[in-house]
Amino acid sequence: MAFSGIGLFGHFCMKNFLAFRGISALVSAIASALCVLSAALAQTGGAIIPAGTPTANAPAAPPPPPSSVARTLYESQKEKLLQIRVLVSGAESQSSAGSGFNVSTDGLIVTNYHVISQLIWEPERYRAEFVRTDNTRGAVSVVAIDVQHDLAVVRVGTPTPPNGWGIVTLAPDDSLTQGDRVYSLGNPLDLGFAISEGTYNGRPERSLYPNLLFTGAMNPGVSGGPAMDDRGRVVGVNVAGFGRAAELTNFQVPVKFVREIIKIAQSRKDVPNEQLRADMRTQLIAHQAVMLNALHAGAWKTEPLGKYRIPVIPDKLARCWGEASEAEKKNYRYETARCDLGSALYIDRSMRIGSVSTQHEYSTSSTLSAYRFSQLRKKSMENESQLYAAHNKSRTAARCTEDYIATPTAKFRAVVCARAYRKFEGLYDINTLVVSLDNNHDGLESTLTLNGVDYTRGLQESRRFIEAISRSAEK
Amino acid sequence: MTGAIISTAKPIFVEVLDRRGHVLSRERLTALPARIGRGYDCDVIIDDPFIATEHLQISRADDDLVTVRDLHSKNGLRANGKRITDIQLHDQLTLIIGKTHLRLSASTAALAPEKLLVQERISHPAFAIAALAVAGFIVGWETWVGMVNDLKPIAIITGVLSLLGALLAWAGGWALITRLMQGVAHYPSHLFTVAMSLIGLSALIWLTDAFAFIFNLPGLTRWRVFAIAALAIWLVYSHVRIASGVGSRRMLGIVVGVGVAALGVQFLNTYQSHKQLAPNGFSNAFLPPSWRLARTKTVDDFFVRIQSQKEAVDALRALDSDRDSGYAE
Repeated sequence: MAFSGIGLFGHFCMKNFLAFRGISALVSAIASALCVLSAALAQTGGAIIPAGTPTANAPAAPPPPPSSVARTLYESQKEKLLQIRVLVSGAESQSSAGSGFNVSTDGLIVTNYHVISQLIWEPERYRAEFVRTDNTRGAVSVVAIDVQHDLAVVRVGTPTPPNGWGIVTLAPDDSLTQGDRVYSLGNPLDLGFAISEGTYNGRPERSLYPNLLFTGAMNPGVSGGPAMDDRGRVVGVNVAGFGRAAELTNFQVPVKFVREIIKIAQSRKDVPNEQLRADMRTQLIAHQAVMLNALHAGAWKTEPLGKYRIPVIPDKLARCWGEASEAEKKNYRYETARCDLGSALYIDRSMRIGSVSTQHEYSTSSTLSAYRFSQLRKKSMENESQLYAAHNKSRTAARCTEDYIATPTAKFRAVVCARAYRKFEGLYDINTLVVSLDNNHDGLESTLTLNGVDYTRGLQESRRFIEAISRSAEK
Repeated sequence: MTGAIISTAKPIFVEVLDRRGHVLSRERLTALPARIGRGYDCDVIIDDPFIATEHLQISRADDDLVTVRDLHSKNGLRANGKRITDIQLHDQLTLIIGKTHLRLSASTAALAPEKLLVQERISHPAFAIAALAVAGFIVGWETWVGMVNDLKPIAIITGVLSLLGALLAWAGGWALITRLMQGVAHYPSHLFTVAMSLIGLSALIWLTDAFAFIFNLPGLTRWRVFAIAALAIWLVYSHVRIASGVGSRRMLGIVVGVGVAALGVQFLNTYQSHKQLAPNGFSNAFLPPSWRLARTKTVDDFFVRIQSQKEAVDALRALDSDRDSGYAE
């Protein structure tokens, strides 16, 4: 039987490689390829504990003995666990698979949004079904989504009466203390249901949304499965990890948001896709506000770079890294500082929305002629030509405005390009490039990339960003 | 034998032409009637297997009219693209028999006036070598400008040599065509032409960049594509003119047509990807900051202008959702 979890690896990995967004598509393609490889390795070497009824395609590897708590927990919860599969319409080929759990007597199942995203965007091409631990299956349809927390609620179709499945118990909000045992349940790698034991390690600092940090194994396919405390209460939903780089560091969405989405789902019956897309748009607009508010309290934080002070995202929130030219490169030296607010939300396989990044490059030369130095800066500027982005399926072509501008301490060539999201009215990418014009022998090139923001808010940030750059007075 | 043989003071000339109209052989007929064919008893013998042994007869009537008549050959006689049995010769006639093109002329035929000698094209090798040297210098200089931390003379030399090689090969291709058409290669002229084009291109790019930067005219870098296309048209037309030895409006028309079509295809591509014709969204012309003469604007003014971009991208969005039903909301 063909192993059909590849699409899912893609999903999982894309989430893991959010940090790579904004670099070239090539890099992310390589990243995905590596990720598929690493997931395949994890399949053979990972700490999965297959338990209970294996599905037909589960290889019969002898499992290490689970702890007695895990075993009891699994036995008591397996009735409530489901696999959620997305299949190509009119065929049995699986496009992606994740996990879910039963939360109501009338057939509401919680899973991850990214597991079922294709149903929202390509409802003609895909359908979804659940598979229980006893291998019964049936159709499901999406009733509510929360792209900010990567949650979705699906409803079991009428032909399958969900009575007697049992529903999970939700733990109260914030019931965990750091160090508590947490059990992650799901169907890893499409191999059959499994339970994996780990530790709750608080909330990660660099995150816009307060996810739970789970130190324990989590593999593709457990996405959407429940995380439980030792009393079998749901404390969170498995969502994503960092991949091989930090093998046992994974995240779970706190139960608080599960409770909220269930509340919305309960009030709904048949939900047209238009409604879900409208919900998504509302959530994305909320997300960009959260994101931009988090950037700074009214003014950008600045730090020195060469003769300038540059605006950066506080490292409490963002991943920042710098680079400097090698010491022996005497003619032309540069220093870069980049920050990336890892806030992009998964929308579909080809799109993530909602991120901010800043990039600064300061270069200097004491030996090159003014003309030669300017041509090096020109070359660097040419690398930013992607600001004038082409028109594609998800976004319109960009339109740019450019001019020479002056702030109290510095002069720039400034370019601001904007493009609209085709699927989400009111969301834009606003990209800013400024190249300093203060001196023939040193210069700063800065970019601010705002991905999925309100136009006015975006321009406000762009402007604040430019105005936050300052040049120290010449001696 | 029909009719009396009349000796005449007005000879008829029979010329066999090649496909380009050059004369391969010429016979002077002083006595008519005369026959043309493959047979040895003909007055003009033509070795074309598609011609009958006796193919044509040229005769003069009493009223001095000269008539050319097909002597019942299988392949016949053609003039002006039509098959005919006979035709009168007044001045000059071009005929086809078998696969042979004939031109029949009366000695009184009106000829084209004497052509004036055209001033010789710049064909002295010294010009070509000088232009090549300048082009090589420009490329070497550009390579050197970009070479920052460690100067590699070898890299500059290989860069220059590969450019020169490309120019020599390009000119060689045209010279070969010229040689086939005219028997003379005119290699220095072709080389001069292509080297000058390259110099022109560099100058064009450099000057538009400089003006764009100094005077804040980013549109120059956006629309210089027209000037580049004109330069390419000039280059190709110059080669064609050298190769054919003559210039004509028709040739110029063809080259301009091809150039405009290529430019059109490029614009269509740009439109497809960017929904506007401008091939770049902003100028990346950059020179030493102190060269700038254009004034800076205030941040306020700049952001007021950016506001209007919103309408432009919103318009694109509206345009799209009608067209793409798959994602329309």
